[in-house]
Amino acid sequence: MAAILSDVHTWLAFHLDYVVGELFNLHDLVVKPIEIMNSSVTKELLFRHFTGKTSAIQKQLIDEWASVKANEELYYSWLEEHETMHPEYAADLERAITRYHNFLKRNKNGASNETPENTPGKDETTWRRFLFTAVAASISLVMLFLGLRSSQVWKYRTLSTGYGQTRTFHLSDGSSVTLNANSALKIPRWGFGKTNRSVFLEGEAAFSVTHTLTNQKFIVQTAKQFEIEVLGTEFTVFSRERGARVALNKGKVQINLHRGGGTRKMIMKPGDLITLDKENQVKKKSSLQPDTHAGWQSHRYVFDQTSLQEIIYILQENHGMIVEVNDKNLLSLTVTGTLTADSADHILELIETVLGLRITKGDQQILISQNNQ
Amino acid sequence: MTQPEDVQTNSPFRRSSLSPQYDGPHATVQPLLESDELFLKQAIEENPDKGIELLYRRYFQPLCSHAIKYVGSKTVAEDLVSDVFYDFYRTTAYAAIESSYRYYLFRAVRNRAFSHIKSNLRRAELLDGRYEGTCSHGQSPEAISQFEELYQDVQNAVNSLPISRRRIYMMSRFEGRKYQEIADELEVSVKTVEVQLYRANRFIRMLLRNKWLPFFLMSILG
Repeated sequence: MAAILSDVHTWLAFHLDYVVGELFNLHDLVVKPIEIMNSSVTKELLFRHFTGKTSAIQKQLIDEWASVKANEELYYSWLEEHETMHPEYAADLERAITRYHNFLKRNKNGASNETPENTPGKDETTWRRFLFTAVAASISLVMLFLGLRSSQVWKYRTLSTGYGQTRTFHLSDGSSVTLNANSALKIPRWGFGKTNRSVFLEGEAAFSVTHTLTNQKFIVQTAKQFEIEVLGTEFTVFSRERGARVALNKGKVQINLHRGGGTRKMIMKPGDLITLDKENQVKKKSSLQPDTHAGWQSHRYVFDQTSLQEIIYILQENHGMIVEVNDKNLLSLTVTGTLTADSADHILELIETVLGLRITKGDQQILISQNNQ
Repeated sequence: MTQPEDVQTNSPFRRSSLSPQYDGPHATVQPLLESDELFLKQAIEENPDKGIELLYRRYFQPLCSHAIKYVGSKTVAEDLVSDVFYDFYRTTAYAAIESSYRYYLFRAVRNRAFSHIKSNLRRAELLDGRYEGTCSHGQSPEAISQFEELYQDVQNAVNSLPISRRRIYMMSRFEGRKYQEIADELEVSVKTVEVQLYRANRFIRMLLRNKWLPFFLMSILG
């Protein structure tokens, strides 16, 4: 969101300067360049700065920009992102945590040594011990209960998109995920463990998975009876009620299909497309254009003999619309071509013009019918 | 910061308009850090011990990756970052924090890395008898970009070492290996390793000194 804000800021500053430049005299024009560049400290510029590719002038602009606290916050947020995407080495977190626990112990002991125990009567000591044990036991019971109840919330968090939205997220291992509209990805809240990098997808997403030094597998789990296992590659996954498909752009992935207690493994090569229908029937084919399945990332739809039924699915799943057709035969009409659609209206327009159908917009739903003019 | 986009429900009846909002032609890149920060805040308020452990899990890796750019050694980088966490705990700075944890931690690590280089350079100068003066905890740079400039100078200095010397330097400094191990692997004498390291360190110091020492001295006087 911060990124959007800064873009808006740049845009506004540009337009203001344009107006100022036209209305005022030369004195204002001299001030102008600094104003423009000051507001154009972008993530891209900072990323270049982090790798030592900025000029002295740009450095000065960054300094001025970062002297505002909100910008400095942004600075560290981008710095963290940069360090996560391009780590210098893999730090030994587990060792650090062990040392931190030792530190806590030392710290606690140190604190209690400062108040040396009195030596009260024997009865009192016993009573105190009992009380202490009882309190400690009940506290740990309560914590255990809370821990069990909230461990799922505690351990995972969900990245999601609303209707008509696509967003890109960077994960802590340097991989990135672009979620298509109305999709959700559950990831471990505190980074991936030592063994596998496991995520859970509902909807559609394009993954760009980085290879880790320790060859950690990246596993995409779905609500369907399959998961995708990779080391480092680019692929898209679609998994919704009506079926599922996996398209591979680069690298190699393995699909584990679970059925009847057994697991069937399928290896995919670039260009392969694996689809599952509603009944989990698997089909594998080689797609000549793997980007057909990734075009949504730039709001580009590649239709190849795509039926109206399929397009209606897109409207429902990605834009949350309720679409009805007055004649079932219309569903098998097909469209071929590429469409860049910024909104659902563009897709509706396509249906109107290319298929020559009539679109009636209601409050909650859309009716597609034959054009009887 | 709140992110209204994230709290949308998936109900199909939620939006009756036919023009759903778009983020623009490009998908926005969103590291989604703010919800983590909020979560960490709650965790630390409830239980500082456990909360700071989560803070470790969240920020230790990127902080170490950053610190090593200045100090060049895994061990030193991890100790330095851990010290920041210990102080954060000991001084209960977490209770009074108003910025994000990320902001606090990155600033603290950068300042410490800066002081680390500064005291190294100063100690060497004192040994060489070039500089005499009282040691004080000088300030840190006023301009944020000087931090990047410093670690880039460190890296450039290491990169301009002769290749065989750089190799020994990296094995000793970055990987933290013992002289004997390095000597065995490269089939040279321990003495050679020592000499090469001495020269490497002196070379790096020389390169840094010309630019940064006046700055360090000024920061004491100023």
